[in-house]
Amino acid sequence: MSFYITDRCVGCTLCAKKCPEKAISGFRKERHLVDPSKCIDCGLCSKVCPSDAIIDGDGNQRRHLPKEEWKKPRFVLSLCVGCAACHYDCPASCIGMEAMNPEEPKTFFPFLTDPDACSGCERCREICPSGAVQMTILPL
Amino acid sequence: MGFTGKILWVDLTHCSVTEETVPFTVYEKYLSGIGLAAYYLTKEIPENCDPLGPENILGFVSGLLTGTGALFAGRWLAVCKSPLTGGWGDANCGGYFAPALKRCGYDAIFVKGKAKQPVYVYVKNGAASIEDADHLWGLDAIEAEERLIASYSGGRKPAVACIGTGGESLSLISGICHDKGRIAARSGVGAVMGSKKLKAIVVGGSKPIRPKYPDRLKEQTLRLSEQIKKQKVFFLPDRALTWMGAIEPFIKNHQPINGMLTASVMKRWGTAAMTNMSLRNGDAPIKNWAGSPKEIAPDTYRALSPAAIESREVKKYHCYACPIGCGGICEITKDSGTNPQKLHTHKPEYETINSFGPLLLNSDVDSIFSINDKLNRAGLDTISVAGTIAFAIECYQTGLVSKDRFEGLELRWGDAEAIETLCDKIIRREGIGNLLADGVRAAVRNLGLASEDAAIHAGGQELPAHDGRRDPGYAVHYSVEPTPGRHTVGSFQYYVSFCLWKRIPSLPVLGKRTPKSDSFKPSAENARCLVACSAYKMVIDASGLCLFGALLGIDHLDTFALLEAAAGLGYTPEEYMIIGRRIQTLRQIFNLRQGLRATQNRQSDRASGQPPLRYGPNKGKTLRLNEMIRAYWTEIGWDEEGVPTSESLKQLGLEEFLDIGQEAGT
Repeated sequence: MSFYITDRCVGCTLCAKKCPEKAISGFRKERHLVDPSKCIDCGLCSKVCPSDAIIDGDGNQRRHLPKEEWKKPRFVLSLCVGCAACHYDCPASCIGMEAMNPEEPKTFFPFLTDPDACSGCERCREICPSGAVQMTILPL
Repeated sequence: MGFTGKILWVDLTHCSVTEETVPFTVYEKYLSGIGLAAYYLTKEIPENCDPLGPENILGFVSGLLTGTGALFAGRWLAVCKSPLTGGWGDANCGGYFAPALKRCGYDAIFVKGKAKQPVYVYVKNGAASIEDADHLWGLDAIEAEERLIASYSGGRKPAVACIGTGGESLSLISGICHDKGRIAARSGVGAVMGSKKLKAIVVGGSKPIRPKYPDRLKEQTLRLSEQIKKQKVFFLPDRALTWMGAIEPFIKNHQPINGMLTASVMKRWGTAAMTNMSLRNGDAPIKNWAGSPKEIAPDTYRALSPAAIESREVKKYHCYACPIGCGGICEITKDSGTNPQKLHTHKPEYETINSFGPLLLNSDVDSIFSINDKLNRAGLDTISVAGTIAFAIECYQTGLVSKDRFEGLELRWGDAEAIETLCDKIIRREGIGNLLADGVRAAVRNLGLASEDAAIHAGGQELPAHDGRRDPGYAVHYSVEPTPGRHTVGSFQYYVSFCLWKRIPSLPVLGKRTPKSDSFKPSAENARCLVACSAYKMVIDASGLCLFGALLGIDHLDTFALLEAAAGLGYTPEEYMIIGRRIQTLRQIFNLRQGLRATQNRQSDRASGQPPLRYGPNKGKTLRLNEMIRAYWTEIGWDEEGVPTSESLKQLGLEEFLDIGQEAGT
């Protein structure tokens, strides 16, 4: 179920510029359109939209969120089993794997490689089978 | 829902790609994964089709649980009509290809036709294109994968499944490689890909996959990952495993093993843990299935020990969503004159270590690492190549085949150098290597029928390193499966580990009270255990789960609960097992329609103990294999020729295939 742009859209083009999958098209000052076959439900469009014109696949109204309030993943290594599901599934490829526990030197655990690239889509939290991903607002 | 609802068809002859919506009734009847493949391949592949011709269909399928957040759901399958066995072909592989494929919005990609020039297929989030692969043809699997990933370096790293030179040269024992050395190796799927001039499939999906009841699914995975996290890595030295193997033949009854113990051993050593244990307990075939532990050089145990393999490991390798990580990345030194290079390679699996070790009486671990790397690059199946080399050495040594045919190559048991040279020849299809590059059955045809006794296979598929004389369940599965010669389906040991009776009370309980010797009897009760293994494995393959996850036991990895949470079909465990049986029967129907008789898949007599071994844990054992196979067929609802009976077809809702009995009889 892809995201959807309502008629509150003012055609500022910001969502189209930010969409990581280039799934949004439209002319300046005209209502934009999401291509459902390309949309990956990351929700970045709704976060940047200044006019709250975006609803998600379940029909919920999404609100604009200032960048400093975007939640980013924090990995709880005491729960993590190193299955790398978050690493492979991150649509922004910003989760790396590295050896971090001296007791298990050959097992690699996840970490956020580029907090700026992370749009806080929460895919990692949803997929994590161990409940080891918590979404928090990172200190600047 | 766990399903994407769509599949992708790629027609290489007409250079076109089309989407197809899968009717929900198909999912209800066959789930996803191998079920979907069985449905479409049986429907679409014409009878008696040439496996290397354009009519054959090569499928890449994910599973119902892939990408839903379920643990162990990182497996995918390559499916086609096998050129090696002439019947149903499938090969299972891990890595991260399955989620990348399903996240494109397709449960499966099916490729038909034949390209004129080498091509590869690129799929991303609902769009697909056929691209030119001239620049990749001739490269080994790892180089090709690296080049392809580099060419898509801008965005997310895609997943690549490609063939090496083995698949390109249509070697019938070639597979499809992924992630620099994972390989969907069996059934000759690589040759089918090569015949279509398809070098690679590149998938880079990132669409979400939502389970129907995320909370229920999370509850299951949290419980299991907590158990695995708490379980310490196996702390005893690897000798403990050797001793366990040595004691095992003297234990009269089945010994249920706690799944978490399996997990802790696998976490530390991976499948390499089993090498010495299997040598001691008779699970490992030795000297082309005719030898006993007596003939192994004494240094073998130390040279091939789990610790020796572990010492080269620099990093654990986890397939997608796997909490155990039985794989590993090892460092090897490649000699190139004065400038030795350090290379990373995948850790050899038990099958490879045993097949290139004791099966050939080889105890040179360096040669095993080196051969493993070469075959991974060429995209050849290590089990089949080793089986073929064992055959060649025996032919040479016993004089079954004239020594002139080996072009001066002196083949001796345990001669690592000669084995590696022969491997190189097989990879390059050079001289004698060309005669051996299509597996043992083709080699018998090439080298003369006198050599037939030395060819150990089931229906053309070289046997893996689990001995049916120790656990007859393996022998039965090698012989009755529509994909013969597979160790990843079932056995009595697996049945004990699965603990299916805890969910399906009507199944027999095998445990501390049941003598192991009972499993040698061709009884209906034994057949029920093995049929349950087959059906359960089909459910596992339809879900995209890993067999090792299932071996932790149903208490730990509750497949049925996961499927309910992901798809919410409202089925009971019994109903899921019926689906498994339906898929199994449909695969058998596929074979019959391709003109393959079930009796043709029986494993070689030597592997059934004819003649019996004279020494070792399996000495004097001969299986009553024909009776066991009959018992299996009766239990699953097939007649004495292995043809599904009309009653069982009606029961399973496969009425459209009622004519199969008459067809097979003619």
